[in-house]
Amino acid sequence: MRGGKRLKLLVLLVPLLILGGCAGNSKDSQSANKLPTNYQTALKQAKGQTVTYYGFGGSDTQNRWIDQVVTPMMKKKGITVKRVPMDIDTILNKLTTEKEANKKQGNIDVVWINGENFYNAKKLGLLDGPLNNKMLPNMKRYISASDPDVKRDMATPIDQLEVPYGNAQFVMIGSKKMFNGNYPTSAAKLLDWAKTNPGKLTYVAPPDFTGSAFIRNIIYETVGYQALNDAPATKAGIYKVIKPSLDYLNELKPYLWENGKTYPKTTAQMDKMFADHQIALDFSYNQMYAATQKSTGQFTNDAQTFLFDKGTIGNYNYLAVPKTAPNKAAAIVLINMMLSKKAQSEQLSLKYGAAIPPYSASKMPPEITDKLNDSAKKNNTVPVKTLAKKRIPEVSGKKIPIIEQLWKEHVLNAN
Amino acid sequence: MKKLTKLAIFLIFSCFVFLPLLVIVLLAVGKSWNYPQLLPQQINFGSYFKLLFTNHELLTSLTASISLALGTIVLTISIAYPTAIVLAYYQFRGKKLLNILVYLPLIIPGIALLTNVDFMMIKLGLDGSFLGVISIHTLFCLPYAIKLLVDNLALLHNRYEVVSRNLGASGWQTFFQITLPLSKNGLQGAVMMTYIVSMTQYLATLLVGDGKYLTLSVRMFPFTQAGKYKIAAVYGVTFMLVTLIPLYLIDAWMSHQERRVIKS
Amino acid sequence: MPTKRKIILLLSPFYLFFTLFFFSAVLKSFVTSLGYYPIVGLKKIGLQYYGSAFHSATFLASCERTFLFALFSTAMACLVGLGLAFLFNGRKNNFTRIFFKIAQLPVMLPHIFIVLALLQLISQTGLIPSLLVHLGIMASINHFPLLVNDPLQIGIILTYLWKEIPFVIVSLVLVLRQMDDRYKIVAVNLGATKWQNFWHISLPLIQPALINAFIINFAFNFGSYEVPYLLGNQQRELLPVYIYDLYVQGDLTQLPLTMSLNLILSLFSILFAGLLLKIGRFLPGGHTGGSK
Repeated sequence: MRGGKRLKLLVLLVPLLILGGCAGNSKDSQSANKLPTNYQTALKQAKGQTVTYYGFGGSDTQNRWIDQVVTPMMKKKGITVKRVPMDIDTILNKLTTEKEANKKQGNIDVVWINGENFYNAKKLGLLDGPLNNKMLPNMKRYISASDPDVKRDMATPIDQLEVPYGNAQFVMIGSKKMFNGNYPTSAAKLLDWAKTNPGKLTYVAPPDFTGSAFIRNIIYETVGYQALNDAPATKAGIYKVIKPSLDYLNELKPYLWENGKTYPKTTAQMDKMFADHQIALDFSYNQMYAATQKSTGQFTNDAQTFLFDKGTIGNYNYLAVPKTAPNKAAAIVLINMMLSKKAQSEQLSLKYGAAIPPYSASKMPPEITDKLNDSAKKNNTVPVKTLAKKRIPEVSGKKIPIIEQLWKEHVLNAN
Repeated sequence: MKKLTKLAIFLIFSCFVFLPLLVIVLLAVGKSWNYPQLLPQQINFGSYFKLLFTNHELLTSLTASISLALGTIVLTISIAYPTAIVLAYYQFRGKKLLNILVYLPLIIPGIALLTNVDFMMIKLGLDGSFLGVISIHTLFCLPYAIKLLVDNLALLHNRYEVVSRNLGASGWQTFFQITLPLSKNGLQGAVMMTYIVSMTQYLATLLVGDGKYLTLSVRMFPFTQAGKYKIAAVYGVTFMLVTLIPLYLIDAWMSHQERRVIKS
Repeated sequence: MPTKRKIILLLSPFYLFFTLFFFSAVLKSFVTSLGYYPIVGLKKIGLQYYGSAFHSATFLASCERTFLFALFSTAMACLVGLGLAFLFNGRKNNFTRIFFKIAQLPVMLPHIFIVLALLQLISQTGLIPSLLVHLGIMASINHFPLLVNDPLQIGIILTYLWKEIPFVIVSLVLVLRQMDDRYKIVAVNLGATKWQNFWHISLPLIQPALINAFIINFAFNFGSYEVPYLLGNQQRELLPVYIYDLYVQGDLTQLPLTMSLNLILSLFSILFAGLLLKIGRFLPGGHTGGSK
């Protein structure tokens, strides 16, 4: 009887002990390994190591690029690459837990990150740095330090904690047949078209990445980038500035698919609706998306890529190294490899997602420019020059959840 | 007439079960399937099987899935069986509480649980280890396993055991010769459920596995989340094959054994 | 007492396991929900997050909606499953053997499967609407009702039914097969009607299993976000999706709120499960089934 009670007490105490104490005597408390100081040392140290790359695994083209292009290139340097499909929310979660548990060495070497996630990771001090030209010769070669995207990621100062490796710009994809060749290149034209063709438009509901970008693009159209950028990052401040945009979306709402009472939940759902001609307009964060979709037979030649006259949102994908990375030398080599001309020019082909390199305009190798122009012509999409001209930066990552919240309150749930 | 109704119900139910599965198979082997075509324009089984047997990724994730599932079965049953015996045969204070406690891992949402279990695993040094991953799988399998075993054991009552003990058999003898064979149905159900629940764990495997166990679900989930229907369907069909074939084999083996016992 | 020692011995693996991996984790979520989350500088302990949850009209509305939704979908699954289990439980009959095999299929496959298939089948350009148009039953696909992301959550309910009806069937048939047929034969010989037979013989025996299945399904329908996230209607958001959206915004200072919402949700499920077990004891079979 008493033995049982004592046992119970003991059982209750165990978790408390684990939770509270033993932070100091944790097994992993040996000092974390440091970033190498330059590329040559990194290369030497990295031989024979295995580097683990963590990134969103739902993009088959991106996966293929890593597996078929980057991994063999790394193999030649004597480094094995392991790709773990994990979305960035989970990665940050894992890194935060590791920090909380005082774990000095994890299993994540390189992460694909940007925007609000970078903001959060930086605030919590999860990332290691500085990642600079000395370590990354390809960064020195192709990316000028004065590029705004090297300095700031969605208004968060980068402070050499991440490196751009891919370039993305929001594009519209319209159905030739349904628009009759006359694409709505502004918010006003879009609304007009919707009014004469009710039920043929929709957008993915935020917090989906693309849906959220569409709403920001509408804000840029209706009140301008500057106004939103200058607005304080508070709910009231943003509401005041984007009120006209919310009004616009509400005016559009009754003419949307299902009268705007419901929205597709994923871009894939929207792609399917577009492919089935249920809706006339699709969006993507990749200027070659229509072409990639055509090559796999999902879209037909009916899909035509275009931009808003005033421009669309562009942003970068970045790579970062967590403080708890076990193989930092190999991580540096991997990042440098992903920035190399060979890897980047391979990535221009459709099967690898046709992403534009993050290179500065002034340092872009001519063969890459040629390839980009060729492919734009061949796939009948927007030329790179036009894209660059019509590129509008992102606003602060802090503001994005607030905008999404406002959309939910004032558009989705408005009567 | 009554037979006819029964047959109709049977057919409706079969449609309900099979139609979605058929769609997934078609997605996996078909190409260019857009409205208003009723069926995919091309069907290509070859590409599917080629993908299946040449894809190194698919094969390694299969091995990871199955070894974790087997480990989980061992751990789950060794915890669930004694617990189920207690819940089915004994009366004691706190039994009601225990009855609810058993379901808690299913009741507490994953968001609240997973990161914190991961925290504990790091503290215990089990993060990224085989034992760590099968432990978290076991956590989610236990409610099902215990439920199925209790349902089953409760029906047997312990009268056979009592009789056997009265006849002088030892505790172990009774267990192996009476209790275990009689709870075979429940045990089979529990093993089956454990296998499935372990195979379908995604976030738990990723977090606690520290990226070291890239199972079929871990590979498949991002594609379904991103709505890459076609790739998700390819993984899905593979998933169906590796789940269904072993389970039906076990089932067939068990009924074969049963017939042998009856004959002898 | 030897029995007592035996119980402790038999339960020790379970308790040890739960203590190490489960209670400790729940304890940590509880501590976080009270506002103690030092990694982002939150150290003020109190019930403020629970308070703000109960003051949020959106949360309360979503709570009520989710409860009704979960109750309805679970009850449907259990009723249909119960009916089918009774129709097809014989083990000697080949027909029912096949039925049981078919019923096992959905139990073995993850939810995400059926989500995938439903999007292909019943979205407005899906297979079923196209088929109806082809057959001339419907004039155009625009007449087909919205069944995914719809206000009545039909898409989610269908997904849950597909998984849960078979689960109920499997757990009930496993029990029914074990049932002593002699009870039934005696009862029929004594002139019991079919209904009496069901109410007095079969139901009491399977009632505990049914209640258990109800609890498992209810907990899942009430608390999981994966399916509602993909198939739900955004205007009528279900609680787990509401919490999940809050969680993935990545603002860690919101984590205590997320945790307290999750724990409120769990507490609710626990109380409901407790209530069900209580009710089960008053139903036929409650005083014997499952405990003797």
